[in-house]
Amino acid sequence: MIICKPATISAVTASSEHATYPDGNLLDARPKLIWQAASSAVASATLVLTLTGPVDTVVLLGAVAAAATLERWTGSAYTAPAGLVAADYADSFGGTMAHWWTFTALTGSVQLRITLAQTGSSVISATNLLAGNAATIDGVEYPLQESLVDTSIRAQLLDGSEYYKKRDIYRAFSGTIRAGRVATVEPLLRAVCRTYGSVPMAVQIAPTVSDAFMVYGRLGMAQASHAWPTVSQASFDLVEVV
Amino acid sequence: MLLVRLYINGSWRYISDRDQMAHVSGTTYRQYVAGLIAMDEIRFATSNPWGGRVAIEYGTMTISPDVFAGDWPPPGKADVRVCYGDAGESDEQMLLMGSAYLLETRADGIVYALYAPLTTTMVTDETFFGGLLNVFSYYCADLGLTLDTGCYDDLGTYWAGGPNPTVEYMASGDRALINALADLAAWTCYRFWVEGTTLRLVHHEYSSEPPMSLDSSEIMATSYPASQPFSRYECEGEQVRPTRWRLMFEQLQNPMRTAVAFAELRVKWVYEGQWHFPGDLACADATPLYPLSNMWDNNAATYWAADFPIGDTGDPQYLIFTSSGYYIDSYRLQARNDSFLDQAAISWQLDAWDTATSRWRKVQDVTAQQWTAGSTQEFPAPVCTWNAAIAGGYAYGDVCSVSPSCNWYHTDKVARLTEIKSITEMPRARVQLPLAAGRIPAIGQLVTYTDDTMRVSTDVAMRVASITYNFETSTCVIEGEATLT
Repeated sequence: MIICKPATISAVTASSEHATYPDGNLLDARPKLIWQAASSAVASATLVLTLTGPVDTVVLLGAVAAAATLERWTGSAYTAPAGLVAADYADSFGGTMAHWWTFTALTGSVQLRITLAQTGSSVISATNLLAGNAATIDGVEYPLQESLVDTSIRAQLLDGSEYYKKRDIYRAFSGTIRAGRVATVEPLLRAVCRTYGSVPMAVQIAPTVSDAFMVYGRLGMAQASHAWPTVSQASFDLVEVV
Repeated sequence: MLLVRLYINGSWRYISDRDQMAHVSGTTYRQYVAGLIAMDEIRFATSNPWGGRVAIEYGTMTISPDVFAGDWPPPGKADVRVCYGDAGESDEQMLLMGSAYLLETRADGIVYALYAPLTTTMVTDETFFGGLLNVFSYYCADLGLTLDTGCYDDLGTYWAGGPNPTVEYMASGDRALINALADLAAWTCYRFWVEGTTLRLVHHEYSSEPPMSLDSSEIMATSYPASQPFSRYECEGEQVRPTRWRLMFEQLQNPMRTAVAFAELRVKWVYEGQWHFPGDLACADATPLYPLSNMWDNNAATYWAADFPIGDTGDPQYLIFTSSGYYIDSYRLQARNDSFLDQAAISWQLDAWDTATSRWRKVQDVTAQQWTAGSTQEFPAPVCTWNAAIAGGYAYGDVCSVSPSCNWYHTDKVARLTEIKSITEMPRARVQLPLAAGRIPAIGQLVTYTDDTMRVSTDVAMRVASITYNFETSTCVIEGEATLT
């Protein structure tokens, strides 16, 4: 499991923005506050973010774009950061993509640029932008539990039919981790849960990255049981933020 | 979707129970942020079933502190609008406009109470003899409001007026104008509410909206609370000036001189200091009845006289005087010399005709007045004060006591009570509906549906008298008088 521990992005500036959907919405934790390019005439848009390292992970959620690339500002030019690995996930917002970049940690004052290309005639947009240091937690075990929580309103109508008003339906995950205390408890309980609390974070759940579930959600307070000095078991739950 | 607008520091903030994009028009959307932590039910109702001001029953609204992050601390007061739309602002329906008043600032939520707009304008001293709509029109100018009297009739046809009852005497000053109008509206079975700068006035049978027919697939629950039983409807009394009087005589002393079979009593009526001919005069078997013009007391006016049999103790005779538009100040009785005994005892009773209830009411009673032949006595017309009251449709139950908003004639009071009675004795219907844009009834609106859940399929036509919005379940409950067939 990999968790992008949230760092504070000082600023994000989009090359184009719709008046109703400003780039500042990318830093708002709520996915429904989106950033959008000014119009469908914008074929390519960039997001320039500045932050203070260390940072080794950037996640762009809910992106409507054909392609996305990440570069860093070296002081004279934008180039791909060292060790860059890009992964795309279909995320939970319906037809949009989550772009997850990892690279060799950068420290000090960092300026990054994301370039997004238009998909067909769609307007380029995204919901959240996260950056920080990733916490890798070993030992996630199958089975993982996934369920859907429905907040819709339902009631029976006079003719016996059901009145159903769809509202948010979100995913809830839970699972267990078995590994050493240093590999499990320290990074999950202390470096993530205790440090950040229940703020929304980008999480890849799975023992291996290639099979990961990409979730933007809130971690509950994980629980651990230490069976042996070198064997610990932790349970976690994660509720998607929509 | 629930759409709440708060006016803070010169601009509107758009919040909802969840983050959502509300359609405005064309391709324009507006972001509503999830800022509502809790919102109480809001009820719109008049304080009584028959009319008055449709007021908000206060609820509170808890808003996320995030909403005020750029405007800290939260303002003490903010204008608020609550709407409901399916797509957004493009199909929204206004649920309330009012003010949010800060109750408490907490770390986990900012609590506001909701209030309807208030006015402190006082009533000016005015007298109205025009229609109710004139009164509202006149005072809406004082309140800075536009009067909307656009009404639909039962058939959904635009209908400009409503019954427009005549307001006889407007109450005088020292009252909050909005409260005076509320009383006046209640008394005339109208309802009104204020939406922004518009005062909407509807008769209880009319609405600013065309009738709405609900399908059973739009209704969540129904019930039919019975109306409260009232045995009597009454309002405070007032001085009335009857135009029809009955004077009853009775000779109390059996004849001392049998030779004289009849006594004669003469009656004069005074109106504004002048003696007047009665417009109409009738009597029972006190015969003959005839006008006298022989200046009995050297007055230029005329007596009306009636002879009545002296011997008939226990058989009162009477004279009925009906004027057309004259109100008597006093009446004068004279015992005729040549037919009276030297002295006699006569009892009489003066009744006034109550046209509202079609019966005589005793207003003066004189027992065994001694009369000397030829004497004349003048009596002031008694002050007639009687309460306006009508019987309710139940032999049990409370007395429904209504306060007239201003001075009304007795007959009008009874007419008003009759209308109030007809409304309160109607069955009532209560219906729960999901909130759906365009399908939320308005106050006064006629709502019809067929209820197939009852033992016998029931056609219901109801007038919406109160609406309760529940934003957590996205439902509303409407209630009002109804006809069930």
